[in-house]
Amino acid sequence: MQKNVLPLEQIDSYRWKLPMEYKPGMRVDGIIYTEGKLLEALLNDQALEQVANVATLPGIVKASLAMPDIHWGYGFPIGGVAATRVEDGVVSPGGVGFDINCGVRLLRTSLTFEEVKPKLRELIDQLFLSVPTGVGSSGKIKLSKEEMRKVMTEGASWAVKHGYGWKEDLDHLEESGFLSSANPDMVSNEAARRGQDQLGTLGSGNHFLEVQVVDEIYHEKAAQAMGLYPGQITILIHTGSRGLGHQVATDYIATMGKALQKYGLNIPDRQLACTPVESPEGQNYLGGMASAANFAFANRQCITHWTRETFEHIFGLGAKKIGIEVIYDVCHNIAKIEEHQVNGKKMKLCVHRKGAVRAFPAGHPELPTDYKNIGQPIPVPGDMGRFSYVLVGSEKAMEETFGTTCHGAGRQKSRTQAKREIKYQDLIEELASKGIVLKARSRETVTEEAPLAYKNIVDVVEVAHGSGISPKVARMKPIGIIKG
Amino acid sequence: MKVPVSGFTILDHTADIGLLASGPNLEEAFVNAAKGMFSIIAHVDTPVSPLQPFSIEVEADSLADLLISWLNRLLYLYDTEKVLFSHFEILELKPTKLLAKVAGEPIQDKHKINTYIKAATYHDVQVIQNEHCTLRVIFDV
Repeated sequence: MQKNVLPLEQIDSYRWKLPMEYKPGMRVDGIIYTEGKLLEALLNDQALEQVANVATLPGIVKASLAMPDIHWGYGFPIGGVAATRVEDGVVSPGGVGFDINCGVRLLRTSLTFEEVKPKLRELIDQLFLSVPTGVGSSGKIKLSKEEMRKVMTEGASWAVKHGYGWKEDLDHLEESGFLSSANPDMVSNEAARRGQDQLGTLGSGNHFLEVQVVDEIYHEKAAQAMGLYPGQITILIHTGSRGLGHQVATDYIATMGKALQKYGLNIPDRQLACTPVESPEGQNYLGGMASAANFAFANRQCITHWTRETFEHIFGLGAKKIGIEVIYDVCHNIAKIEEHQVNGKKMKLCVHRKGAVRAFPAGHPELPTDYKNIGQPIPVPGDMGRFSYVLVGSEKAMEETFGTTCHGAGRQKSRTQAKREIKYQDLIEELASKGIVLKARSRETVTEEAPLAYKNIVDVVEVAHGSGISPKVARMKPIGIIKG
Repeated sequence: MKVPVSGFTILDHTADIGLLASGPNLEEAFVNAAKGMFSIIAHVDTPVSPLQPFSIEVEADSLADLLISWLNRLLYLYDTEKVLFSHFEILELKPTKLLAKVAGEPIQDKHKINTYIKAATYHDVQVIQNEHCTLRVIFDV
């Protein structure tokens, strides 16, 4: 394959610069967090070109950033971060993506691997029955129009109020599981309808629920604060705002595309459609986006509840006794208004994180009391055959990346390529040989999501750790997975 | 890449899936784009009967935008009505407006659904009109 030739300048072992002179219209440099091997793969596709395109957005400050798991997306790269000035910059729905507040939630238990092993198959079968999965899956919760509005306004607390989980869960969610900027009036009837029967569903594609065992601790103090220790069982839930978020994004990308001319905006890729943050279109989008984000928080909250019920059923003990508590819940695809220091000046910014995760440091006012001294926990899923990690936010991330780090391993093979190269039966046998039980609705989804389709999470996390933006706390191995 | 005069081809894209669709005229190319999209969603070897009809009307600023709106409208109907579409008839196609009649069958187990498409994106969307028409779309899956 022909490699792209780009004028990249190496800053240090983990940072490369794509200078703003590279492409006309770039307002800032591109900064890529990567290392030799990962960078090599990046030169095969258009991901870095997309970093350059994002650098052209009006009002962008400091740099168009690429996190260590960056890969080729549409418009923004996945793993892309852009912060724009609220006063004169733009907001771009493409900088958030179609799966608004797709994210992960990590739960801990007080169970050990030895206790779970004999019942693993039964546990995974039961989880598969309890948590609706699959393409276009409908949930067990039927929402009226009015209730749907409440979910979009209240987020995870709507779920807790309706018996899905515990009040204390909310303290351990990014933004306590709801964005107060939500405005359901800015969500079209179509978008609301698309989400109405999907609350409490996992969906398909790369979404999953995984039972894991902690196998390494790197940062004792942080692990202790998060209640993590070797041999312990954890649960990782990956899903988002489902059809609701897809339709909100679809609606606003179309709206903003039409408004480009009105604001005299020129963009290199129509998928980067944007309008000024403070324009009516910008504000409406942010209100609609936050509504979808709240739905996603509620979605992960409902799934947490059914996960607890399933564990109670299988192990014959209450979920409180089993200690199924939320460690943390983070957004992968989101735009937030935050204050950051840029060139020594405090600025109000619209931080777009597209396949990237907030990584706030110790002492940040947004963090709950038990993480105040260590920083924000960041669960980072790998692939179904290798590892997942927990990282922790840092001052370095605040200084360099608007408090942001990687969100996962990042794809390296297309879905069609994965399906061509990987046979379902071989994959299941390979996973079984590692003691991993998998239950999925679609064989194709499984092969598309095979470990080989992803970069090695170990390499990705090494960049996040080595560059100092989010040190490693713990590593987990998958033992059981349910998928769409 | 070689594209048939009338039909569709699936394209590789690291994170997503692309589609090239073509036809002797725009109407047929738009129909083939819809067929291509539903071939990504479900196995084509299970026949889908035109049991449930719907009318579609979309407006946009350009042909490329119209193509994306057309496909996104079908995805919306698929997701909310739970209907797998197989029959597409374009009644009117102007650069800024499309009227169509579409039909399909309520999704059942026999249909073997493969992929959930979140949306058709504007990234690298192309409408090429020569002696025949070629369309290019990247989907977010």
